Amino acid sequence: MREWLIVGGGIHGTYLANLLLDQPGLPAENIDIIDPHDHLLEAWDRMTANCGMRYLRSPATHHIDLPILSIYQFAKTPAGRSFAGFIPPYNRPALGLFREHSRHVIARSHLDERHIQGRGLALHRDGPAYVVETTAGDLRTRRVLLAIGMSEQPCWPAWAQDLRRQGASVTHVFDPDFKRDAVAPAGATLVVGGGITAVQTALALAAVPEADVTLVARRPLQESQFDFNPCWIGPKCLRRFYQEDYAARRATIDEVRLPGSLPGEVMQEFQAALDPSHLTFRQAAIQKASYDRDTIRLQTDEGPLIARRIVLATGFRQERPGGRFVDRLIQDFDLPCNPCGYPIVGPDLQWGPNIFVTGPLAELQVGPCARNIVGARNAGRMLLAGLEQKR
Amino acid sequence: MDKWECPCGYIYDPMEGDIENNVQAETAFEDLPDDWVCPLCGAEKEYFEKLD
Repeated sequence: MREWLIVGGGIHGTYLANLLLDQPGLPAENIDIIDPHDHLLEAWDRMTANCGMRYLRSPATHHIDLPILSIYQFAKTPAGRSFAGFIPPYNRPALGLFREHSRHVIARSHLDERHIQGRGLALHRDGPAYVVETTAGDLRTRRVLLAIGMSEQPCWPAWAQDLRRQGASVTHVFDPDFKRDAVAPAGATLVVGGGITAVQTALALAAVPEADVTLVARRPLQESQFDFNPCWIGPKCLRRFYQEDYAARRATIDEVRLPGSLPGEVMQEFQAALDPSHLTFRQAAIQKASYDRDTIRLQTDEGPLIARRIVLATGFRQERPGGRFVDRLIQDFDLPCNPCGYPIVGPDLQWGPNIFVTGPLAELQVGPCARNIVGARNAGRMLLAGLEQKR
Repeated sequence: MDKWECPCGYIYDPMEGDIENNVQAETAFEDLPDDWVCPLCGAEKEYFEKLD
């Protein structure tokens, strides 16, 4: 029987598999990752490529390897040298370098050999073990780690869902089948959203000479180097967070995270690219939408907007990720949740007996950085400290 | 030798150094290598503040 089954092969699942495999006395065959994609980090690769990201927003010390300076070291090797690129502040790595480094780590630690392609459906107790019912068959394990991100729940506003039902060309940049290169340049394209993804998507779509792109956001674009203050990574702010009850923690997370913001260099690039014939910005709240003969008409608080197609960059629905699989877990194992729907877990990230969480599912314990790459690293520290205590 | 605090709350204590990243104990903050960064959040040295 395996020791760990990690559900989710994104940044969190891959990093934590790497971390657990590094622990003494745990043979590789004792850890597996179940993920529906063809390869680990596939959803992350797809989403970062689709939005036209060139540099990460996080520093080069946030990655899936264990030594903190691993990306810097990799950038000096023959394999990494041609991808090397960092921008200030905090030495943020080029996307290509981060990806190549991730591939290198996955290959070096044989993490791809631990990947089982499939999707978790249900969990059952069987003596001291769990049996995870999956699309790849039943998998027995002593411990389960839920590393489920938000990638399967892009946020579709109601008006956009209506348009899609009517046959209009409306896509979401985080949809699994979205391909930015397949967005036709002819006719007006509206990119809806006000964060880094929306701005990068608008810039990428406007790079084609005949493009006619308008970025539509409810608020003025907000510049912020990170999507949360770095004090939330360490004890400076987390000390106070841990004194709060779970309702207050939820309020704190919602208050201090800045999802609709963008770093300075992306803001500057966008402002420099603004051009009335190619790329424009409209601050407007969309109220209604209609579709007729290939033309989309939006009614906004700032007047009408007409387009051939819409690309949504409206982030993710904020509800608890994991869908029916996690819903059933809560019901079957009577797992505690805050009124916001998110797990209440201990400092060791244990939600139920030998059921652990990371990523957004752990945010009431890990704090506002839980969804980020550094959240995986912090979750790993908490997980190992908890396991150490039990020994 | 002074201790220095990162924006994330990590405190560099020269008496301890940063062994995991090859910085020996009793290394003053001013003597850290130029490419040393906060082992917790990745901030460069210039973001640290001296503790009183």
